[in-house]
Amino acid sequence: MISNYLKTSFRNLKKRLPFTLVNIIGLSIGLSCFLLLIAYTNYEENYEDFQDNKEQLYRIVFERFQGDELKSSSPAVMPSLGYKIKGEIPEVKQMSRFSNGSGIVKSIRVTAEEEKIYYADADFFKMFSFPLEVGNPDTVLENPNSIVLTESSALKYFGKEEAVGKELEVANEFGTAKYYVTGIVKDLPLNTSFSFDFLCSFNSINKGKNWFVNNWMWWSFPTYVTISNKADLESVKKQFPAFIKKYKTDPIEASVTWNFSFQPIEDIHLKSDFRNETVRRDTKARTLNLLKIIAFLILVISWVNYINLSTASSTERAKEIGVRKSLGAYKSQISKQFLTEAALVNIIAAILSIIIIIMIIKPFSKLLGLNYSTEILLQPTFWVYLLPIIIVGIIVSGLYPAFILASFKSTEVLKTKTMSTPGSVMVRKVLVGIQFVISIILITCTCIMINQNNFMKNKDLGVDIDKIIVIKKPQLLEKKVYKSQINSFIKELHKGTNAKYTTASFALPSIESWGLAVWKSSEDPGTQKVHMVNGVDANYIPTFGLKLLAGRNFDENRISDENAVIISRKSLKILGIEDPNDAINVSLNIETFEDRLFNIIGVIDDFHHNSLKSEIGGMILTPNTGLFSPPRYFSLKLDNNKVLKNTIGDAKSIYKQFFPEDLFEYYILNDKYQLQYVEEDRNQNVFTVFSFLAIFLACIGILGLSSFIAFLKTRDIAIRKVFGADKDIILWVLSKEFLYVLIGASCIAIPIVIYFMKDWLADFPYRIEISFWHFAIAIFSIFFITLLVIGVNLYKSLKRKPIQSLRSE
Amino acid sequence: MIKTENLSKVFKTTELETSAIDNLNLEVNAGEFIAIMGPSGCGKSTLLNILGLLDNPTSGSYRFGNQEVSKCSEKQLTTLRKGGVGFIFQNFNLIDELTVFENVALPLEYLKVPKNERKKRVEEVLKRIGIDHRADHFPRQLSGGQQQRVAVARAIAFKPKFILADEPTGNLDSKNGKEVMDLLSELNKEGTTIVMVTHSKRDASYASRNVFLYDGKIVDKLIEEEV
Repeated sequence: MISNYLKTSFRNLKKRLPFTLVNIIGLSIGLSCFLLLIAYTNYEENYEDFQDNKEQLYRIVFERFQGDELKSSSPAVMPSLGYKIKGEIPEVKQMSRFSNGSGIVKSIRVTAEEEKIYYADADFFKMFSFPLEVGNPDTVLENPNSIVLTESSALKYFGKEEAVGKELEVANEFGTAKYYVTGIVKDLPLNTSFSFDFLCSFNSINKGKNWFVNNWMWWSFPTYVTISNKADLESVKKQFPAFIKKYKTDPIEASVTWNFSFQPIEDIHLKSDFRNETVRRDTKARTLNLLKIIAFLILVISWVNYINLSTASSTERAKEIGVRKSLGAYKSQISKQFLTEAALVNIIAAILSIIIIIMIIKPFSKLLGLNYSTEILLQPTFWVYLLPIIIVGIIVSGLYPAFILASFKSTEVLKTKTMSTPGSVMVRKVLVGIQFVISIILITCTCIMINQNNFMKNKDLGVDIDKIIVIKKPQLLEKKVYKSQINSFIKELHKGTNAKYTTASFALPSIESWGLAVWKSSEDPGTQKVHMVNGVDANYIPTFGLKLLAGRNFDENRISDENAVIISRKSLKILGIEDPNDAINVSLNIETFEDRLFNIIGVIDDFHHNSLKSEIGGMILTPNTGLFSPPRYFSLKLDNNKVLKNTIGDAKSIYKQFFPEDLFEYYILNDKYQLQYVEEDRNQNVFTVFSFLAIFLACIGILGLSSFIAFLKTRDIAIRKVFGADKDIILWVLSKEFLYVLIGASCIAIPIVIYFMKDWLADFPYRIEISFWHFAIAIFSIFFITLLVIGVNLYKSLKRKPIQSLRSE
Repeated sequence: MIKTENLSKVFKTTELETSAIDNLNLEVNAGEFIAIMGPSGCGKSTLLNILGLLDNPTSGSYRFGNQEVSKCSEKQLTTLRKGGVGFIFQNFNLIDELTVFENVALPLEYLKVPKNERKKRVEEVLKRIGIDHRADHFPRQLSGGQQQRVAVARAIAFKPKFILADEPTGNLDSKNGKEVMDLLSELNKEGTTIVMVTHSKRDASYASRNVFLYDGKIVDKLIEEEV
């Protein structure tokens, strides 16, 4: 019997080949999109899944409150916490800090700048499952000046030679020192938040410095702990307040409450975003949820297409069903026939979708900014999803046609020429309505995303970042020597490159400086608020085109300017000063500079130091001496007619004269600034691509329905033609059904879009408003695509001679 | 009223040429009531298409009123047809989604008759046909006879001088059939020219002249079984 079903199914599918192809292509596109998106979200959600102890590993998160106000929240804590916690709280079984120290690495063969240099404690390889190729996980990080390399870094610095036991020089903010390779770790998997190329023993940094071990005011060291179980975790949490109280003794923090929490490592990737310091956002998790919804919607569209097209062809098949029934077929047998056809189409589509995935995996992962490949097909989860989806697909797409078609009454079917049960038209309208709703939602969301993205990129930043080359400070040179050469280097750089302005600063737009507590000297230290403080020179303001509202710029010739500050309008507001002119000569205290008083000499207009994703905060410029010395970046502002490439060459040769041993590292500021929008660009790309696919799939549905309606309306159109109707009227007859469906779908889609996109936009401090146009674009584009598809059918109906359709047989 | 000379219609496929109408000469004078009879496939349908200005002949001449229409474009034919020809079909061909009133008003709408005038004329014609109490009903709520009366109403609502009836009683019982034929006869007496295709000898007896069609040609008489 089954072979009989299969045989008939094959013949049926072959007989209506264009229809079958449209069905298979539609389904396989839907399936490929779904599987790719699900594979991606699945991958993102399973970060750290490979860690054997994942349930016992936590990162310590540190929040500071002034009253109810969150002053800062960060996954980085003081170095001392790690030292004390393991000894004093017995439930904490293991501890490792994981702290970045990017800088320059030098072997006999290679010298290069490296971002991914980290410092970790001896427990690190016992806590985390990063298998060592060479070396003992218990001891590789035990001794000071030990370093573990990944396989790739070992290859880069030592070639095919044995790396273990060899020497590497590392120069970074912790100084310059020699390290001995104690182990080689396998290259890290992609789905981990830990990404290091070099791992140095943490005790290399402090080397017996007591102040380091006892420092409770330097919050730069992410710290991880192993706690065996939930009960122990509760007990640790209970002990924590007393533990902290003992060490929180600095009077500066007297009015601030410290709060520590334990974040499971599996949450790190998706559920933390401390970039803003004060706000936590779960944007990644939200984007993933959005992608999952899109994946599902696209799959639904393709299923709906199948149902739509199969029932649309029912009129053709009605006769076959009538004959089968009159020959004694049961309803269930006819249903099985249709289910077999659905199964065949779904299985062929699934096979095709795997081929599609293999073909598009590279461009797709590029679109998402990832580098995964066909290996996702080897993940068991991929198949775990695929099989049930095929089965559900067969049931969903096959059941309705099977049920509807099998219930045709044979006598009616054989007697009349057309089958037009009003119910089946209604169902089909609902199906197309669903596709319209989905398409409107996707197109509108894409429009809003593109609009918001462009808005952020084109908004006046209040700071000029064009034609600026940034050169990083030398890393290998000893600090003292470097300091002594700064002034002559800047002068030479300025002269040699013919730059318009040249400035040396601690931070610059798109590069964070330090957030420090600041208060008016005339007021209580309890009124302190965090401002970003940057160390700059007198050329910083003209280089970046900042607008001075009151007072004056720094003057290198005034010794008193050592203690001068220039503050932004926002800082002015935070300090509670109305008029910029009133700020001049007000004196300020800045945290960690307790012994000094700073005098406001100028006020500048606000500018976007970071991308528009974060709100403009208070900004205070101080001379780049003291804490902000030496400067980390040299910025060259060029005239518009200057060619960047030539200037870079000139700058490099000057740099090499001054710092012959060091690496010349530079970037173009505008490029670096735009990198802040990588995530938004990626989302925009994903949405655009999948919206187009959704519309394409919806077109198949519209084609199905409009052919069906055209078929049902053949007689109607012929009658109208006989009585003198022309093309417009016939187009209207065909399209009005869709217009009503589109209006209905818009009514459903608009509130959904408003609800979700308002929420999405709320994350951006500078954002567009959702407008009529976003919806108009979506609805009109669907309307015109629909008219186009209907036009094809219209052409067919117009060609038919009316009497043909009207005479009875 | 209408006149065809050497009218031919040839259907071509890649392998076959079929002559549906073959050098047909037919003249219908104003006020005549002609019944065309003939077996299936004799070319009745094709002739009806051409006479009803729905199709062009392959060769020959067709004068509709004073105008030669054999070479007219589809648009010109539509313009002539609008207001010129009323159609009545065997299976009524009413539009299911429109009410009786709306169905009858349809040709007037295409003629751009103003709304008030349209209403007046539809009501008038429905009253005359005796179906005015059913104006708001949908076709499926009516009997076959009533549906055909609505179709007649639609065909005469815009007062055409020429009515084409394609087996108007084919789907009706004898009583309803007679009513429809009486109505056509009455219209003819009022001056409307009617060309009717029929299989029924009784219906043909209402006509002033019978024309027999066989293999696309007019013949003098048909053998009994071929009707």
